[in-house]
Amino acid sequence: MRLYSLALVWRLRRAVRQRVRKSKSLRRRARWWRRSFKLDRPAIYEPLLIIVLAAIIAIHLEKGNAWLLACLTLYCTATAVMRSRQLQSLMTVSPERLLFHFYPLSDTHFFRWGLQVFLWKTARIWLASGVAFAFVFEAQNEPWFWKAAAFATLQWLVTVAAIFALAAYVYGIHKWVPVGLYLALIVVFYAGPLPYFAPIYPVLQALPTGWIDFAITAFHERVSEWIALMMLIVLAAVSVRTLAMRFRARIVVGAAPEQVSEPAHEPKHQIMGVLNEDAQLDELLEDEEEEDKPARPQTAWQNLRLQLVGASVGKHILSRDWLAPREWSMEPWLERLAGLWLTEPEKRTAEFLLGGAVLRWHELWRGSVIIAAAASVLFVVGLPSTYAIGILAASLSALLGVPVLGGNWPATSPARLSGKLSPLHGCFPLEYRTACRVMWKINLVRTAAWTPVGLLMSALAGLSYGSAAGIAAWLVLKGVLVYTASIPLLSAGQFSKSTNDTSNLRLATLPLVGFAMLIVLMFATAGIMTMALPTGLAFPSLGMTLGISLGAWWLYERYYERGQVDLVREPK
Amino acid sequence: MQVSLEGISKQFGGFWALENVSLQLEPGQVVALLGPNGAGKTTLLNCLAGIVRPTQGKVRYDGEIFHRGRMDFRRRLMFLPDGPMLFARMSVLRHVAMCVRLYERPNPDEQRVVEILERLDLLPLATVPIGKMSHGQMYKSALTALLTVDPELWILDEPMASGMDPTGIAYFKHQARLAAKRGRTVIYTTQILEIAEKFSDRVCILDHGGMRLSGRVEDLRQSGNAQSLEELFLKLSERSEEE
Repeated sequence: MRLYSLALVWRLRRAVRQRVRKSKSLRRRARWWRRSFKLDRPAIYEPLLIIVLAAIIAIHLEKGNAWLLACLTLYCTATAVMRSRQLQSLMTVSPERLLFHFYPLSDTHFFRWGLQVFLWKTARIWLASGVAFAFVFEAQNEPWFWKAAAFATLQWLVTVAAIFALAAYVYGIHKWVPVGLYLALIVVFYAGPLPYFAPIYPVLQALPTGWIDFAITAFHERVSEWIALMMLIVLAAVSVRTLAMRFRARIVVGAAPEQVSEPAHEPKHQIMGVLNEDAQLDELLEDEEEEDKPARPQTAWQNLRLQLVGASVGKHILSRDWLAPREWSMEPWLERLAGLWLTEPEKRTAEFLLGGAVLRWHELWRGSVIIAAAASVLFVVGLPSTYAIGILAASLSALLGVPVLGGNWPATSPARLSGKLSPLHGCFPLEYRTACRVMWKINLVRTAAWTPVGLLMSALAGLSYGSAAGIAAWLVLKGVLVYTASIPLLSAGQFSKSTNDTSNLRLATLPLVGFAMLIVLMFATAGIMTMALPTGLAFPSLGMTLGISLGAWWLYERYYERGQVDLVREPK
Repeated sequence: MQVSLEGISKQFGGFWALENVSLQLEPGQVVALLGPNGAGKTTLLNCLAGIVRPTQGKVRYDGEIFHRGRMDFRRRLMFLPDGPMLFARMSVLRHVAMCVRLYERPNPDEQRVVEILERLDLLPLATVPIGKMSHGQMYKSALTALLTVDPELWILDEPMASGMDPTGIAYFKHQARLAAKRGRTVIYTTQILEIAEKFSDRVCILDHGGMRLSGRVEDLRQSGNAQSLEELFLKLSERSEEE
């Protein structure tokens, strides 16, 4: 379904150009606007990424297909989980869904439009699968082009079917699940076909998106390969259609939001409450029969005013309790510990940065301990397959316990500002240095709280798999130290994320962007060196990592405080 | 299009944003919705546009019950909220083309679109993504689509405080007047009483979710014994406080 006619757009554009040409001032202004802002910049990143991935595959492929197919399966599973969340969001609470309430577009048409947009985005699944299968068939010395295309189509259809199934039946998948899967993919992909990962390849292939791998094995060197392949493709296409319709019935029509402006206090399940257009119509028709109902004696607004005038609310206002700062000493243990380290002005800054949110760091820590315990059990079992799963669980534990990417600071989140996005702190007097200090202290406390858990877990892993407990624990400790060194850099990133520092390229910001890329590269190199080098050399390397991080943080402060970056960025 | 509101109430959680609002509007009128902040003006516009469903009561267009599923009616009205709903990556031309298609209108005359763009000073920006524009220019983009589509019912939330420049506002008022002469109904909200007084055929004053007054500006002034709409509004506010 097309939203507009391209022919009409071209005709209008031609008419506009003809008019603009007649006026010198219009010509000048139009040129400025055209140069400054262009529609749809071409994306050059994806072809580059494909080339890099293909190079890595080519390096590792000599050691067999299983690793590559497992990676593909992991990628498809992660994408299925992530895209299912995005699809649910697109069809229910996305800006597009809300936007189209203001135009005469029925649910059916919106679904069709949304589906087109969504399916177009899944094209990269086909692309990635095509590349992977091309390598697989090429390695088998078979004519690979059409076969890879057919298998990629099948893989794409199966993944899309999985997306629809998840979107229709599983609501509320946590955002960290796809992130965890992608991280696992990066680990497995980057590590290459290592022997201790081998036992998990069959496990991965048993996932719904990995069944194609079995099909390859089953079809290999059979005469009826193409017929069976076509049948599978048709079957997968039918599944996609059936599940898409099921998704439409359950989520798109069944849970259409009643209004665009739900009050913020409404729980999410109410927004997702069942409501269909026919039921609305029935209710409306039923209402016709209830015309003579007596009027309510009092509106809620009037009740509210009475309450305000009345004693309780008035007393509360007069008591000035609501002006009192957060009582850090009354918080749970981890939050209390962080509070002990903060000075009074820093506590005020922390309250602002946290946006009044209820602190749940201790709950995250508890979750990380439980997962770490599970990982430790897997390590103690001592099988090669449990080791790989244990590594994944240990990574998840670290993700929960350590404030990855610098932690969650609602005040640095973007908010709408006259059609643009601007960080919430932009309109308040927040000092870069104070805010960063607060972030550092809190992140350090959280990291320190998780460190014993990580050390214990790694020591157990080391003992169970033949290396010394001390070596494994030292490796984890180095990881923690590298993360700690990255905290200044990450805190600068919290300020950078809602600015136009990387999009509004000017002479003053150009060095910043170039330097930022260099710094990331240097930081990554120093971090890897810290992890890889022996103890004696690890410390200088760690010092270098910390130096780069602090240097980057300080440099960004110069730019930020001097107003070289704008606190606005374009919405996507 | 004949607009009829019959005992409209809207409840959000435990809060009644609108309470038993009734109104009849004949085609060819410019109607101003006035009221203090939180009076329910935007909620009423949302009900008219089908964005929210009234908890009680009915919205009728040409005597037929309207709800969000009535695409035939929705293609006859257009709603511009105070922050217009636009795709940031689209240009104003694409937005106009999209509205033409969604509202099932024949392709417009290019010169008409160029004229609207020129009058709203959007010509140099015609191919620029809307997301790059200022707030006022975004509103003008949405207004360009409205003027091109020319629906029977115009619903606008705070067009005078939308960030449009005086030239844009003057052009909008001129076009709205012409549209009313063609039998279109223009319903808008504003807090600028001088504009409402001079520009509107009819004024409706909402307060605490209820319709306090509705009628021609002259009639309301006389019945309220007030020299101006502002004086009448202030008198009403004082009375409301006393109650």
